[in-house]
Amino acid sequence: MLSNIFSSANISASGMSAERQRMEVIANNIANANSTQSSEGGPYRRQQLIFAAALDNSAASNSTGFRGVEVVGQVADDSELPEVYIPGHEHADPVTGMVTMPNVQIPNEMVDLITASRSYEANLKAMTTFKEMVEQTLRLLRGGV
Amino acid sequence: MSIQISQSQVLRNALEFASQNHRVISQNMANLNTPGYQSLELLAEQLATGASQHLAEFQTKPVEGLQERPNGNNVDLDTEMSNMRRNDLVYQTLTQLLGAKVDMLKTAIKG
Repeated sequence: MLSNIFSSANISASGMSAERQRMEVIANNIANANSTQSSEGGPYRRQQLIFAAALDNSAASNSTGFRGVEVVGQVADDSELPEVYIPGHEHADPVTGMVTMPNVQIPNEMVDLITASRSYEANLKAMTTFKEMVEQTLRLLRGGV
Repeated sequence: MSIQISQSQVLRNALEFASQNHRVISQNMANLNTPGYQSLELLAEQLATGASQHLAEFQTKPVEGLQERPNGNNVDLDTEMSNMRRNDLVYQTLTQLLGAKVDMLKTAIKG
């Protein structure tokens, strides 16, 4: 029952958590924008999170058994890796002098970062509003509005 | 006396509706960046019939007439924000009304 009363807060928290994870992945992408070697071999590939709406297992699809959002996976961006001419670089092709660079594009990452940050704020606002609503209700118990 | 009880019952239903509405709005906001997610809203008819409803049994339906983004998501943050603000004001009004009713009862008891 208690978990039901405060489930609004849990929904907003799941949104905040998902957006924060997305920010971490974006920060990691930006930090590795020039990493020409990764643990999988080859240059770093841009990482992306996959979000999915979460529902209670028992709840019907058209009821309010909401659990917010959840991160269901992290995938690498398989788009083409750009090549840059840097002869003498440790990972350069000995013949052509070309280095394969990560497919991270800073402008795209910055746009994603702003979206994530704004979405985080929206969830935070929903949480604050819920807190005010609960406080308002509890004031009834103290005998005065 | 029966009038007083039914009044608090109406307030109770409306409060429950408003708090469920907040959950739906929170869910929409949490899924602002979920591909393919469609905005939901509560069926307004439940405002009147909410009496015997258990908390989890409120029904929702997809919001119509929203512009879908390329990833199949149609949550409009501005609409959700204004809905949330309006719902918050409704909730505040209802709690104040309920508070006033409690005060009246107190006055009647104390004399």
